Parts: sequence; C-alpha cells; structure tokens
Amino acid sequence: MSQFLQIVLAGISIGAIYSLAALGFTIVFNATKVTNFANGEFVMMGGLVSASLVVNAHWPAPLAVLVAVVSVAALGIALDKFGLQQARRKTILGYAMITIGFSLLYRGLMQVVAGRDVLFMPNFGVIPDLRVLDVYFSSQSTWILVTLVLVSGGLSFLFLRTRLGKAMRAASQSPRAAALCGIEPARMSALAFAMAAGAGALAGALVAPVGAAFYEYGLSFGLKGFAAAVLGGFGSPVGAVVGGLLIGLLESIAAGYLSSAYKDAVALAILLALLLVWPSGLLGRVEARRV
Amino acid sequence: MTLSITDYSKRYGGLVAVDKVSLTAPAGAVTALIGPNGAGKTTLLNLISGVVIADSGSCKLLDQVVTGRTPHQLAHLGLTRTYQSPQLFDDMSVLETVMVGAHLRGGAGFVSSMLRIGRTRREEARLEEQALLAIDRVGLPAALLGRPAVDLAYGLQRRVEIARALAMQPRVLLLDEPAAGLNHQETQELAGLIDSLARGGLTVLLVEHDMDMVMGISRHVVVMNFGRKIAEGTPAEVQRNQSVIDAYLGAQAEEGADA
Amino acid sequence: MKVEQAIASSSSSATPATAASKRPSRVGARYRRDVIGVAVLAAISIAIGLTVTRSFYFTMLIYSAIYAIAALGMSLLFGFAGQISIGQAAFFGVGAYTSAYAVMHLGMPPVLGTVCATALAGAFGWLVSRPLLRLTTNYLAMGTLAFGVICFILFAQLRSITGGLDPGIVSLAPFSIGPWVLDEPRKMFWLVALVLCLVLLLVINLVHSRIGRALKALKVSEVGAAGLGVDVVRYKVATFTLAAALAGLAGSLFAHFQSAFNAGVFNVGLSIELLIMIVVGSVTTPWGALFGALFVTILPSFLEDFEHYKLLVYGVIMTAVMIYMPDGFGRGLVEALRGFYKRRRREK
Repeated sequence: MSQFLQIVLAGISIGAIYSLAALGFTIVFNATKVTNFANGEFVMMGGLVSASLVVNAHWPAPLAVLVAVVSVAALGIALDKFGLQQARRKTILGYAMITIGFSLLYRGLMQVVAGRDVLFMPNFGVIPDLRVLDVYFSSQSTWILVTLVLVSGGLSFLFLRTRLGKAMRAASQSPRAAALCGIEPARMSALAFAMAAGAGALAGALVAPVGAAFYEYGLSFGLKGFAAAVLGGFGSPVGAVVGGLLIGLLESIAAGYLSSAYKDAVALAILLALLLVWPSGLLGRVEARRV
Repeated sequence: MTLSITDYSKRYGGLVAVDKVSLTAPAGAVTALIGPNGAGKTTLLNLISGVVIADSGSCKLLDQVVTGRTPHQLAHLGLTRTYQSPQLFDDMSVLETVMVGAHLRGGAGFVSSMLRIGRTRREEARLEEQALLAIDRVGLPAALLGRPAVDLAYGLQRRVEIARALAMQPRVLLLDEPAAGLNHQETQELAGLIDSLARGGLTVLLVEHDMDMVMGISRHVVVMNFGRKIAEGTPAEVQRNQSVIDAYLGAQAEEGADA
Repeated sequence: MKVEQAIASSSSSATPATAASKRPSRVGARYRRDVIGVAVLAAISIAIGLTVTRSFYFTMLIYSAIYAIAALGMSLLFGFAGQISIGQAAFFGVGAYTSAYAVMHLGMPPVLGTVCATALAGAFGWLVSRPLLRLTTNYLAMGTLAFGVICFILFAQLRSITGGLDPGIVSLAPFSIGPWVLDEPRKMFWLVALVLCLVLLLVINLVHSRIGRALKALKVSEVGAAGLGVDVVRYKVATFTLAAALAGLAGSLFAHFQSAFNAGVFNVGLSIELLIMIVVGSVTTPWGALFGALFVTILPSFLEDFEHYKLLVYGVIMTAVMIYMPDGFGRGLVEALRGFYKRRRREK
C-alpha cells in the first residue's frame, strides 16, 4: 500500500510541474488566443539557467532561481514583442510557426550559453524530508507542491480580485473595447507571456534537482504541459492544474506498474486520444465544429 | 431549380439567431433577403449553404430534401454561394481562381493528375474553356486573366468571385452582400449582371443592404428582423409595409427602452 | 435594359476572355515553365554526374536530394494544402526500417524493398491521417508532434526490428538494381537524381492540375472550397498519404546510402528540419523544397563547429522568415527582387 502511495506522491509531484507548464499555455491562450509552442522551453530554461548558476558559477540557490525566473520572463516578453507583435501575417498558422521558431531559437540559445551537459542541481533544502505514515515526502517534493499551491492561489487572486487581472481578462475578450477603456492589449499580452514564462521557469527550477536540466528537455515539458492543459479543458486555469496532476499521476502509475521505458509515451498517448476523441477535456467548453 | 426553406431555426446559447424562417426562391428570378444589421440574414445564408447546421426546419431544392447537407454535397446538387469578404487565393491568377470553380466539371484524381495522362490534359483544356466563359459572362476583360486575383480593385474581385461561382454551372446562387464596398457605378453594373444571370434561369438569393439595387432587380423581397421574417412581397409592397419601415427606423428607440 | 448595357460597357472596351482562348493556354504556360525546369535539373544532374570527381560533393548532393524528396511531400502537405505536420520523421523512419527489414531479413531485392517501404509508409500515413486531419491548426501541430515522438519512442524500444538506439541497423547492403551495385557515392548519385527528377515531375503535374488548384483553395478556406465542390476531407487525407509515402521513399534511399543508422535519426529534429527546408525555400512552390533541402544540407559545411550552433541558427532563420516572409525565404527574396526591378524601371 505504501508503495502505491509513494507512486501517487511521485506522480503528483511531477504532475505539479506539468500543471505549472499547463498554466503557461492557458494564460497565454486566454490573453492572446495563441498556442505558444515555445512554452516548454520556458520550463527548460528556468531549470537550466538556475542549475548553471548554481553548479558552474556557484551562486546560492535562491538568487539563482530568482535570476532564472526574471530572465526567462524577459525572454517571454521578447517572444511577444519581437516575435508575435511583429508578424506580417497575422494568422493562426503564422503565429504557431513563429512560436515554433522561437522554441528552436531558445533551445539553441541555451545550448550555446549553458552548454550540452546534463546538469544536476542540489535540492533546495530548508524544508526537511518528512515521513508521514510510511510515505516519504522528499524535501523537493514538498517545495514543488507548496509552490504550486502558492502560484495557483496567487494567479487566481490576481485574475479574480485585482484590477490588473480584470484588465487582462477584458483585453483577451475584446481587445478593442478594452483599448477604449485605456487598457493596452499589447501590454496585457506581454504581461501574459511574462507570467507564463515566469511560472514555467519556476517549475523548471523546482524540478532541476529531481530530474536534471538539459537543453533538450523543453519538448517533453511542452508536450506534457499541453496534454495537461487539454485534459483539464484548454483555457481553464483550474483545468490546467487538475490536468497536470492527473497526467503526472497516470505517468507515475504506468512507470511503476507497467514499463518505465514507455513512460514518456503515456502523456503523449493521452494527448492524442484527447485531441481525437475528447478535445474539450474535463472543464473545457465544447468547440463547435464547422461542417 | 426552386429553393424552399421551411421553418429554419438556429440558436446560439440564449440568442435566437434565426426563428422559424420560411421562404421560397424560384428559378429565373432574384429573391432578396433584407433587414437591419444583426437580423440574422447571414446566419440564414449559412444555414442554407450548409456552413452551419440548423436546429430545426427543413430545406428543399426542387423536391429534394437537402436539410443538413454539407457545403460539398450542396455543391454537387448545384448550390453555391459567395461571401461578404472575397475569399480569394493569394497565389493564383484570375484565370486559375475561376478554374477552381470549375472543379466539379472535371474528374481527374490524384494519380491521373500526377501522371498527366491524355484524358487529364484534355480535361484541363476543357476546364480552362469553361473558366473563360464564366469570366466573359461577368464582363471581366482578358487583360486581367493573368493578374493575381488579390491585386484587383474590390469591385473586380467581386466579379471574379461570381465568375468562380458561375464556373461551377450552379442552379442556385446565394450572394452575401455583393455590393458592399462598391461605389455607385460598380453597384449598378453588378445589379445588371445579377439581373441577367437570373433571367438566364438561375435561382438567385440575394442578401443586400443597398436598397436601390435590391428593389431594382428583385422579383420578391423577404424582410427579417431579430431572426424572424417580418414581411415579404414585391419590392413595392415591402417598401410600403409599416413594420418594415419601423424595423429600419423606429424600432431602435423601442429596443433601447426594452433593454 | 440595364443588363445589356452593363455587359456591353465592361467588355466592349477590352477583348472578351473567350477570344483569348484562341491563344495557347495561359495556365499551360506556367506548367511548361516548370517542366522545362525539371529538364534543366536533369541536364545539370547529368553534367554533375559526368564531371565531378570528389566523393564528398556527391555525398552532399545525395543527402540533399534524399531530403528534397521528403521535403516535396511536405511542400504539398503544408505549402499547398496548408496542413502542418511536425511528425514526418516517423514516415521517414518507417521507410528506412522497412527497407532494412525487407532486404536483410526477407531477402528482397532493394528495388522491391524500396517499393514496399514507400507503400508501407504511405499506408501508415493514410491510417493516421483520417483522425489527425480532423484537428485544426494548433491541435494538428501538437497532434503530429506527439505522434512523431511516440513513433520515435517505438523505434527506440522495438529493438528486435529496429535495433533501437544502439546498435540500430548495421551494414545494410547498398542499393542495387539487378547486377548494378551502387556502392559508391557517384553511382548512388545517378539513382537519387533520377528519382528526384521523377518525383518532382509528378509533383509539378499535380500542382498544375485540378487537384493542385483545389488544394490551394482549401488552404485558404476549407468551407469555401467545399462550397465549390471540393471534397476537402478526401483531398487532405490523400495529400497526407502522399507526403508520408514520399518521406518513406526518402527514408528507404537514406537507409541504403548510409548503410548503418539508429533510431536517433528519426527524432523531432528531423521533422523540424524538413519544415525548415520548405520554410527557407518557399512555401508556395515545389522548387522551394529543393532549394531548402540543399540549403539545410550544405549549411553545416559553412559554419565551423556547426553542430554547436545549429539549433540557434535554425531558430533565428525560421523565426525571422516566419515573421517577415511567411511565404518562405525564397519567395520573399523573389518578391523583393521583383519590387526592386519595378522601382528601377519606373525611375528610368
């Protein structure tokens, strides 16, 4: 039994990372209607930058993580301002291709800047390892879960209770009407990218001690984060969190009881199945299909 | 071929876009569909052309029930439409664009097209002929044949769209605000073209805001407001109809009070 | 009556279109230009085959041609039908492994093996296309991406058939047609150039046909195209199948030329490189696939330590092209040149 609970906990821990990645997709999509194919790279960069700073430059972890989150958020804004806002052809396909281009660009940037080594960062520490009823809560797992709760809580407070959050929601629903009220849609979308990138970078930094950091990991985070967002209902922040936890859980169970070699395929198979059969997911609205 | 719709309805969530609308459009005449903005005309057109599926009601072409058919199936049955904003293809010349309309006049598949066997070559020549005929019919000069369609003036783009629809040799043609954005002279020329098409035997259903054009060439006019049919008749009858006048002028004040 | 006036006023001042039909077909003119292009390509290939001596050049050209074949499929799928697919590496792999299996385990002659590889890749493409192509742009991109990664994982794990990541397929015999064994780059070049010219001709035929026009139409508006009678679903599926088959053909030739390879080849990177090829070349014409394939294949030899900067360079190129020249770099260049010449003529 305790083995099962351990597997569940491991699943929820990694699931929390997927949730944060999924939130990145959701925030950007809600603000701009764009599916950001570079979202996984934000997670990767967060992990790689903080790990590099700690391992190679011997910075203290909190500073490294802070710098990582801020710099990746800046890269997120850059994607919006220098990429999407500049697009000559403003079509869904055009935007998708630009974000795909940026995912390559950021991946290449990290390869050049941070090198091609797989980096292992030490645990954050501070929070002790806990043992509750035969279940082992590692320090890093606790960090991850606590961060997810704080970030989710913070974001929902932001969007539901603050003026800024309402301005962002207004700008996403009707950019022109919002502009007439003095809200700049361009600033709101840049802000959305900053938040998505920041959340993703934080996730990357959190998982770096557990899963290592490597410039090729962005694709995996991106696909699984997207799968989580779709599972929970694309566009629903609550769905993103729930979807992430579920994907992590299912992945962990498959790895524990079936085969660890195909572990990565689990999330992908779920994604394909969802897209083909149930694209609205758990909490999403059904898309009306044109003839 | 007569187009008849019975009690077509469509709602989007709480909003009733089309509410039990019926109309009949006979062959050889222009039937106009008018109404203030938001009356549901385009939605009705979308229902008839198969782009949107109706919640209830039925549609018949001559005596054949075509409710719920897809645009592709409707094209095979001889029904096609144009759109408010010309859906022209970036990379194609006027001639190529109109040849797309002639698609159903040919039958070459992937393999025969790739191998370009004799039959395919002859078919290509035939399709080009039919496109040229359609281009002639709408009065586009030959000088424009090779120009990219998107480079043309708006009025000419509209003609290309109509030529493309004609290349299909349809029996029923739905026109969605073809005069939008055209100046007075262009509108008159367009009216003349549509009139002659109808006289040639085509069933034309015209959605339009330009009243002069509508009243000048339509045999029968249907007026919609708030998703419902509020009047129909000859142009003269409809112009005198009080509820029509109210819909365009007075009803706005009432609407403000109710909301 | 207004009717006659309207028609008369617009056509009396210019030649009616049907008079123009006495001249040779206008649409045919563009087709003939492209066919001449293929003939030129064939002539150049023959010249290269007879005069070049260094193996290295042949090797570069062979890889360019192999990727060009796969890229032509992408060009049809993405450039013409407007369907984005980031999973073509899967079909490339199916082609490669099928040829390897057919020749090494079933003892088939390579020509038959390649035919099977092409057919199997196409069939696999057909199978997955129906469900996948119901997805719209973003979901389609993610879906094909996921599909490509799943296939990569399968290639890596099904070691009994593929050899996995290590050692993979080892010492597949070089391609041979009857008694002719193509064991040198120079000899393989002849075959690959021939196949490329044939495939290019088929693609050009398709582009300049009723189907090609229908594909361009459905790229702009599926509903609009359907309203003109185009069977959108069938055409999308057929195009995807064709693209998969071409990727399989390319994979089969790749397998024979390289002789040894492992699953690591058929990863997302390959799918994205194929996408970059047509983006860099030109999205709207088959020639773009050729130029793009050549460009991407020979680019590494211009940059020292290229492997290290490859992703960054690709990223910058792709992003810049997609922002400023969405129809592809090649097309953007042509448009820029055209604009430049127009201005010069006006100044004169």
